[in-house]
Amino acid sequence: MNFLNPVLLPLLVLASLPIIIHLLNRLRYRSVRWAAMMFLIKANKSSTRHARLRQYLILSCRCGLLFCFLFALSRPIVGGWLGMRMAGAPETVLILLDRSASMESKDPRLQKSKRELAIEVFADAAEKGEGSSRYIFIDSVVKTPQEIGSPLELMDFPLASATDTAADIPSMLRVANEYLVNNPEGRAEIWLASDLQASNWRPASKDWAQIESSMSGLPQDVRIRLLALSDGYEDNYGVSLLLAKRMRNDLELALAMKKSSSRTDPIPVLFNLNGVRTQVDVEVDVPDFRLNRMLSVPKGDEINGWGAIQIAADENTRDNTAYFLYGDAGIARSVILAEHKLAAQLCYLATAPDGKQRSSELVETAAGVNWDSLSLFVHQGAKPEEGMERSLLSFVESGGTVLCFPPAQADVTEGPFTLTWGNPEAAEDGAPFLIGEWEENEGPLARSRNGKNLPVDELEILKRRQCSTGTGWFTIASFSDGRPFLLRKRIGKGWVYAMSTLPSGDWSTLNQGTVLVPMIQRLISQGASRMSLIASEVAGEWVPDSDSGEAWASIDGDAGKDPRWDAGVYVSDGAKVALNRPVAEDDEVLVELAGIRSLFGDMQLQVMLEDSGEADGALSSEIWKSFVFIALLFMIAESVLLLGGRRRISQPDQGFENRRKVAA
Amino acid sequence: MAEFVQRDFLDMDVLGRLSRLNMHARHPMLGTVTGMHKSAARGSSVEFAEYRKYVPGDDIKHIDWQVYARTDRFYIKEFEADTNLRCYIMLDCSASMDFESEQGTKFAYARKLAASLAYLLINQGDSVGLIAFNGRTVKDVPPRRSPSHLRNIFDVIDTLKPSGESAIVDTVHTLAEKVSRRAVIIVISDLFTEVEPLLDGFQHMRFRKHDLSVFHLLDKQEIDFQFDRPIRFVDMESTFDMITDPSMIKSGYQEALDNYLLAMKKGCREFGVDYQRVLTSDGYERVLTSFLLERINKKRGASG
Repeated sequence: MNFLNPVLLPLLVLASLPIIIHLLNRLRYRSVRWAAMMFLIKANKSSTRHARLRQYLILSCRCGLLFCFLFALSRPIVGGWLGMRMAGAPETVLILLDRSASMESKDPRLQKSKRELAIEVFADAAEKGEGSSRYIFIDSVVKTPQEIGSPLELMDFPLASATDTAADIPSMLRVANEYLVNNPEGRAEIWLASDLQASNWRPASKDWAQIESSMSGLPQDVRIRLLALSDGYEDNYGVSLLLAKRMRNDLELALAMKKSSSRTDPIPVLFNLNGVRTQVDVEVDVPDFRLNRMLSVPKGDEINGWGAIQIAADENTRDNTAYFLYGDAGIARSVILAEHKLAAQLCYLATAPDGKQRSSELVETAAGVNWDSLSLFVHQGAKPEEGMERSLLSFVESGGTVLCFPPAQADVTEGPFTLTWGNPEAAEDGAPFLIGEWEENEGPLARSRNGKNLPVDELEILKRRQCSTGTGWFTIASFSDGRPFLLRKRIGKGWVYAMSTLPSGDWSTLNQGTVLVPMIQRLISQGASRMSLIASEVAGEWVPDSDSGEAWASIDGDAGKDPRWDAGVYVSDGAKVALNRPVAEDDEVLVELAGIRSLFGDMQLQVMLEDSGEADGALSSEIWKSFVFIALLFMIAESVLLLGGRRRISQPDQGFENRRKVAA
Repeated sequence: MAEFVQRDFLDMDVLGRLSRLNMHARHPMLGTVTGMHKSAARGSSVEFAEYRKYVPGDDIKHIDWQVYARTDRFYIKEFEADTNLRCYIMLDCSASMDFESEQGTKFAYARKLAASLAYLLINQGDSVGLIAFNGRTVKDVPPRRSPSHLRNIFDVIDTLKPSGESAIVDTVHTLAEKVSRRAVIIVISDLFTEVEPLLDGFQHMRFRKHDLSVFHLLDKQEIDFQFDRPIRFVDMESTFDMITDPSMIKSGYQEALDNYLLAMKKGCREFGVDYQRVLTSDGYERVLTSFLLERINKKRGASG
């Protein structure tokens, strides 16, 4: 049982007020000289026991009345069919299911994953609830509302199956909101099941304010029930790949292993290289374990190949395998177009052209750029002309990467990709802007292969321009005052990045290269994959092009996989892609309940913690009405006891009354 | 008369109104002089009673010669005799009679009843005595019928103060033995004692052919038992006290009181006691009027 007004719970001590008053009254007696003592003594002997019992019952009723009343004020909520019955059936129920890889964590007692448990809870709640509702299902991968007959169907529904993807809870809620805008009839409920993983909820996102305002403005009554499946791991290992690089007849692999277990014994790690398996026992002694290993590639093999690293099944089987492709990545070419000469030069140096695998070019106009063989395009300055912007968009959609820097001139505010730059803001002397948070698990600022963070927190920003964006942009690094430092947006198969400062010394210490160089190198690698026949992508983010008729088939041994959400190695017309779950899915950082409540603002939110493992206690409803009803029962019982105790007052002799009338 | 007005238990207006009513005995009395009450002895009034055979010793002047002429036997013609009565007023002076509420004390009420009855009886030529008692007999004024005796009685009533425990049972038995001739005995008390022994005393009175009347005085608060918070009840006749919550004990108290009142009323009816339950909130004039009218009606019914 939870409470929507838990701050009132301490007031429950007031329920003992009748007892305290009773005791105080007993102490505050007055003396009366009494003649009819013989009846008092008899009464004390004969009926005290019954009177005492009656009085205790009255006291109990009064205490119960106060307790129930105060309890009702604290708005208790209970789960399961009881809560459903009390709340009544809504017209529409939107079921939002987090299908992320972390939801496949199994409760060792129930042997059911969080996702399966959520489906059971939904099915159970719908079965035991009164009335009939329309059920609309929205999953975290496809995010398309689908009407289903009953949540029971989700047990075998393909779009409710396990995935290796991440979930974007704000996006799911936005889809739900759009559905409710288009279908405004009747009361609606949103049943949301999630493990509260912070990377899925993105609590710092501006999307939440929009969701909260648009949902609050809906004409119908909307209530959100959150099934919080926030139990952590007890005995689990996760594996992910940091690097797979072929060096002649050897393959260099860098692995990251995440340990959430108290076990100390070595765990077996299975290396699968083009179907050839090798097992190694690895002693994982720290929670974030790094492992580098060289594998021999048999002579005569093709340049390109695939592989997988696998550990034994544990609480979550979705983080036990990492897939990779290796081979010739081709030449990575970069172009820098910058108005700020110093910034342009520094970016050029950061691309580290070697003339073989890395080439770089400084240009003053985009007219002669060969977009087909380009990996990274660095843009600094004003919004490009229309023709160039079209070329840029096409380049990104085909898989290229663009890094945008703000213009140095204060009067230039517009940039490419609908970016708008604010006025330059200079830091006070001796108090430069510092980076507060950044994405450490993946992206251009992720930890290095040895597990060390890039010195992002050491950067000193002297000048910055706030970047205003449209929809679809995510902040991957922000200043300590919360303003974005580095933003990212996916367009087609490629990515666009926007930074709010320049790499020159008068703007920031990015010119020192400790952050700029690895960042640009990673962006080059990301963009280079568009020219390669092999690619490493994140499951859920990489979407097969269905319009071009691509048919991707799994080659890692499991033919039943779906490239839309299952990790694995897929091939189509000679092109290969290795899909892995997002690294952020291994992150065990959760959003706290208080934080979740603040995200939903004034919306009606009921949170049910699933920490007991009992499915029946899940979806919760307010039951304050029941306690008001019980309080009324206590009131009636008290009245009955009080009235029952009042005996008829003895009257004088009736004959005397009659005689008196005669005399009158 | 001016003296009467000065006493707080006398209201001359009330006495003036009550004087129009006579107090009649319910049973024949054995008085010393001619009065308004039926005598247990045959006398010489104009009202025929019965014939009986002549026995030696009878006054021959009472022989009905006409009957002798018809039957050749001697018969004595007897007539009803009218006599006066002697009345003993037993006034309870125990401390419990000092119980006071908004209507005043029970004892003040009892004094009004006793004084008014004494006035009425002496006014109609009957003898009145007063026995004031608590644990013992405090005052014993023998019955007299002279108007000057009335002043004595009022003086005694004036000096009485309620105190001590009540020994009504002993007093009743003592008086039953002490009064040898038939008399009217009026008990004015709250009767706070065990019912059975008291009824034994009343039966004793009945056995001695006394006309016994009881004014059972109660205060409304003693019946209602209305208290709203814990009370320390202090016994008025002893040092005993009890702290209790009235709401908790009320039902038991009222049950005991009801049983007591029922047993008292039933016992009094069984032993021919003229039982009057009186609340101090009732006007004493009404109570006495009712008491006197009941006796008048009873006499009319008997003669009719």
